[in-house]
Amino acid sequence: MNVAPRYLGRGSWLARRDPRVLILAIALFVFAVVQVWDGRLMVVLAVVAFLYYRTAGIPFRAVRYQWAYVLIFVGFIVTTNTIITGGELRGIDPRSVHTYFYLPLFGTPVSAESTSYAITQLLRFLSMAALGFPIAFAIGPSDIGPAFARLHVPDRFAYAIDLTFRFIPSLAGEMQTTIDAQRIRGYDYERVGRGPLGRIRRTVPVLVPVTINAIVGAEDTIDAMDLRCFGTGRRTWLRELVMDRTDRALLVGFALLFLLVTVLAFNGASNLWVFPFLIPG
Amino acid sequence: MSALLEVEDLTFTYRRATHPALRGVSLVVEPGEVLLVAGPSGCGKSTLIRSINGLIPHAYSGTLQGQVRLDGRNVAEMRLREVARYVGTVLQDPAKQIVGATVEAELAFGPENLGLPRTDIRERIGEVAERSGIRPLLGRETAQLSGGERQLVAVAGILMMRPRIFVVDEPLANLDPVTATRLLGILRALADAGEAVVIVEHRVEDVLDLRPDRVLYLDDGREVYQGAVAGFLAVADPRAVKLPFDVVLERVRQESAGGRSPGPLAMPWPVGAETPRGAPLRLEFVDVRAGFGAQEVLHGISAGLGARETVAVLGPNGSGKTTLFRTAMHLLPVTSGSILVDGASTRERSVAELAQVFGYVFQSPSQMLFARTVREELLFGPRNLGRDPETFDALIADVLRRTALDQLEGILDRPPLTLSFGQQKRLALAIALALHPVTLLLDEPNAGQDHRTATRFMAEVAAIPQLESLYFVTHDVDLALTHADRILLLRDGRVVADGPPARVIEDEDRWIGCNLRPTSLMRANARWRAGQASFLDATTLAQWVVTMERPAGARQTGRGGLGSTGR
Repeated sequence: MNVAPRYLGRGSWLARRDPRVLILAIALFVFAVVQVWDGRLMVVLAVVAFLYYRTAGIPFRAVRYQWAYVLIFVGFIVTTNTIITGGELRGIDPRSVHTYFYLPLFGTPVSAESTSYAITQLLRFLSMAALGFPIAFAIGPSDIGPAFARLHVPDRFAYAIDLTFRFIPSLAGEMQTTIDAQRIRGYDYERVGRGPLGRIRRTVPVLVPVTINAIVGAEDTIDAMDLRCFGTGRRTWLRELVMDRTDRALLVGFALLFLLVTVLAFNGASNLWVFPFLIPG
Repeated sequence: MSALLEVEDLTFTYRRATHPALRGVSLVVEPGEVLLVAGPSGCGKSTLIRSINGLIPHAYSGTLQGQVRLDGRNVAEMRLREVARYVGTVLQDPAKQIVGATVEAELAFGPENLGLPRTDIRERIGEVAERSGIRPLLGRETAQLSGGERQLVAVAGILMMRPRIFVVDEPLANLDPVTATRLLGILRALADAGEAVVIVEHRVEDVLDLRPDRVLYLDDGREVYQGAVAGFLAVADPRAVKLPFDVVLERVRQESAGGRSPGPLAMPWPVGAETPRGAPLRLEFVDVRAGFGAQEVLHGISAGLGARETVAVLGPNGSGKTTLFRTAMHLLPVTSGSILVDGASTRERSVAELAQVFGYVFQSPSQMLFARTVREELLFGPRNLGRDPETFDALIADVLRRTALDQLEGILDRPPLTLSFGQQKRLALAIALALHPVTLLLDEPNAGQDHRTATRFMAEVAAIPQLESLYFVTHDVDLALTHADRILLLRDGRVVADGPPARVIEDEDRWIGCNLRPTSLMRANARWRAGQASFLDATTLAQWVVTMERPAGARQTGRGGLGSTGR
């Protein structure tokens, strides 16, 4: 495991926070946004999420492919979900739906309501991603395990999360080596495709060797951990984490946000709100 | 009173295996002792290590007979946690052993698992960092360490556990000679302080600095020799184990005195002299700069490698040796400067085009293998290049024959990853040859192979017909000196010397400054063959010396003779 996770937010305001705050913040935020179907509130929450993301100081250039993957993945989920459900019509009288047309083959109505549903869902997922990115890129590489452990996650799981964060970039490094091994045998990756989808297609021929090598390598790592008594009893975490006043204030802020959204949800924010500009004439 | 470590009549057969990996091995190690375990690949060394450190039977299942006792207690009846307090194991590949994100986290990992108080762990970190000389590395991320630094950190991680027995598996495999010496110094200090060390290593000559008390030589799971180093040196086969030159010479003298001929002066490698002036260049670097992201590794390299040359690239860990090859193959872009192949810039050439000139064999062959069968693996390249399918059968037969893989029954239908390491290495070579390159680029050709297998592999490469040139990266000084016409010496991403071996080693300070050590073979060549451009391997040089010691009329010479040049 000789590749470090990319600590892109190093030194930023958010990276200086106790890592537990980042983990608890996303948990509180997720619990808040899942209650919301009111697009107006979701826009506000999305703004909060992206302001928070900005404080992590993650250069966009370094993560543009990750954002492209998120957009494609979330776009696919939202589109599929909207087509299957025809748009969640909670709080909407079916007789007052503003239908534009029906999708061929599926027969699903595409309406102002289903489009609002899709936009709200898209904003929700992107907001969640905005709070998730700092966990991957703005927590110090050796702080992830201690952070989860101090949140009372069992030691084995906490360390497993820590290792996973480093295993994934290692896997990426291994994949690049395998790609190089195939390129020197005339396999032209550039021809296979460009853009995020092309990159996914290019990885297909390397999945088998990378997976096998990763499994073989992981066995050695497991041996090495066993030989240093991992998982045989209660462990100490050398890294001490201390929350300062700013950490606590940030945490309280997210807790209040969660409470506020919960109250608003009870008062109608959990019902779908249709964006007026989508309603025809 | 019982010994620190006792292995008694140990036999182990892995689950699903048909033959035992170890057969009736016994040994005793006392405090302060150093035991060297040697033997060819597959001789049972790893199984012995796993039996000592408790992974057998705790993590690997199979049939175990006999016992391993630590301080009189049967390992099979101890918990792994208890065993780890006695035995610390350093794996062959430190990259797989290191789990901490930073050096400090890595050192803390073991004591954290033991649940020690933080103050104790910090105290140990300070003490171990001092002892192993890695204090300047403490704040660094482990991913940023060089290969040598990583090995030292892996050892320090084990020192943190304060075990009484250190088991070290091939620690020198990826280290430059000076870093290797530093590591051996740490192990010697441990033994002097009363701990026991069990070290597994092919490079016997290099490990002699550690002053082992005894040697256990294994072959096919059985003990072939166990006893004092002097006795081992007297019986060891120099073709199977790398021995000091004086030992090889003495053995050849004894054989000669006993009436056995030292043999003809066979030259196992077509030794070339310096590339003649004006000879065509295959690969030329012109002020090349390259690196990874913001980190520049090559700082303006200029060098030309001949079309009919064997060139070894030497230098310390992290000096840019592999990076040089990767830029040549366009696997890494150059940030400035240019690379010429056969006089033409490679700027517009694809990796696929370059692959038809250069066959590149990675250090780890498994990184090149992915197909279901050897046949599919061999045809992957020719298919990508649109070669005629009618020629495939002949092509496969040819490359299998040239790499001696045709002797393995049913080789074409075997999954590549089920082959042994040495076979995988030869398959990687066959894969490269299937594209009909005229030059081979080998990255650490003998890493992970025992002396006999490595020697055979290089001999097989030398015997490949139609191959015009060979460029290889290595840490093995003797391999470079005996096989190359020319040495390219790198340090910190710059060429510090370039020329025939005899000239490059003239400046001993420069040699040592590149973390290289004068070996016994190097000194012997300098002594016995002063002024000669080429170096001989230990056995050939010993035969040469013995023949020269004979009266002139009794000498005979073999193929090539001493004056043979070039390919």
